Amino acid sequence: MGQLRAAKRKRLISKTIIFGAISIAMYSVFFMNSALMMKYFTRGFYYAALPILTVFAFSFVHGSFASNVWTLLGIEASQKRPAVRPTAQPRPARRERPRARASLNT
Amino acid sequence: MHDIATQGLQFIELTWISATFLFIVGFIGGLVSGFIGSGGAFVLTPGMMSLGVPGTIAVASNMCHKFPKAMVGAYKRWRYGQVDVKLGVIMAASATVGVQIGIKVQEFILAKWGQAGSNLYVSLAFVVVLVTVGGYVFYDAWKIARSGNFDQTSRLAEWLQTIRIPPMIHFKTANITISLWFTIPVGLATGMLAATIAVGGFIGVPGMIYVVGAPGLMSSATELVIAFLMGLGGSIKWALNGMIDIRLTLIILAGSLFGVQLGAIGTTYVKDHLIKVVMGSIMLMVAVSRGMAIPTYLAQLDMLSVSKSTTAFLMQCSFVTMCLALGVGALIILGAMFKGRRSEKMEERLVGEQELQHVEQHV
Repeated sequence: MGQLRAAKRKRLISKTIIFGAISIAMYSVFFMNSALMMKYFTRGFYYAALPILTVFAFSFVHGSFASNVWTLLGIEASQKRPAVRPTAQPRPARRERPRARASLNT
Repeated sequence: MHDIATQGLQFIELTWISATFLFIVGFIGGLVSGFIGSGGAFVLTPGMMSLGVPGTIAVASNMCHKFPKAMVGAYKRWRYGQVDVKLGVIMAASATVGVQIGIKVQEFILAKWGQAGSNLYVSLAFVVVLVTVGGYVFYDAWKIARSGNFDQTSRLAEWLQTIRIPPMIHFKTANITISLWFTIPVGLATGMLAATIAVGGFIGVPGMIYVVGAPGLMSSATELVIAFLMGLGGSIKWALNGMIDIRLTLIILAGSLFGVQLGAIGTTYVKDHLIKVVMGSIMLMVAVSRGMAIPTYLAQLDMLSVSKSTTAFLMQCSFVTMCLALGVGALIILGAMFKGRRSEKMEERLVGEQELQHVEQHV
């Protein structure tokens, strides 16, 4: 049990480091060339795809990094979620079971 | 080529101080958004403008950070079973129409009364909507907290759900069946408010709670779907005109992606009515903040005589109150989350001790 938890934690640490490194690399490359980036990113028209695709890429990498950091810090969603308003669930449809019937002809 | 950058748009020089400021505001804004589904944008746009960013670029860059943040938040909360995607998509479709109506109203006011008139309209809309809706949301939250009852469907929503005007739509996750015609006005109002004060969620979330009848937690999570879809559309529009300062967007995103996930985690520790407490508090404080800006715009329209130093002081107070609103919201969220985590851990420890005692007795 303890070994399993340690292995899981080890995997989480490596994932955090990998995503963190990629995130830092992406931010560094971007800001070291910010003048060039700004030149193309503000051209509009076809170039409009650049800022949109960039934020998608950053949100995937940096978002995964952030998620792993919180998990590593022990900040995770509650296991015992609060009940969202209780509502009556519809019953599953019941099929009538055929029954053997015996009758006497008198 | 539509090269607006060469047409004289000013992109600011970034300093460590401005980058740190944007990162922190991004984090707090993200935390609030992840929890109540909206918010943060109302501080970020004036915050960027205070750094010298022109208004349109501030709005565009803010919107471009908003949709990926909302996407990550919506995904996280969907995993917790809090998102009704169908409700979000339908609301977003009608909100898109609402945005166009809101823009037309703004254009009409701008043409008739100029920039000061437009600013006055925006501030009045802020005050009227936020005091009315925010006041009711806060009152409702206080009522639930005092009675200790479970959050229940509003009477209005219950009544609307009984009116069968086709097409009737069933929202599986929220477990609601309601006519499409009752969801449309909520979406339209959300879009109109988004076009006016940039935070449609202040109508969208209460609308989903009190008109459609969705629970508070689900409404705030579904609002993230609306924010994602509307933000994506708006960002494409701004990007086509080359208005997005991607540097600002990425810095804010760096902070907000941490915040939005923490806010989403926070929702799993709190009761449904806390969404209303946070939302109501922020809305009322923002209303006070915008109320402070009204004398300035009235003076610009020659409808009130106030000295320039007084208006400058009021505008500063307005911005500080707005930051305070975001800070108070974040503190309530963190406090509730901390309390929830602590009581859960204590419960776990108690159960563990009881089990140990049980085993010892048998041995």
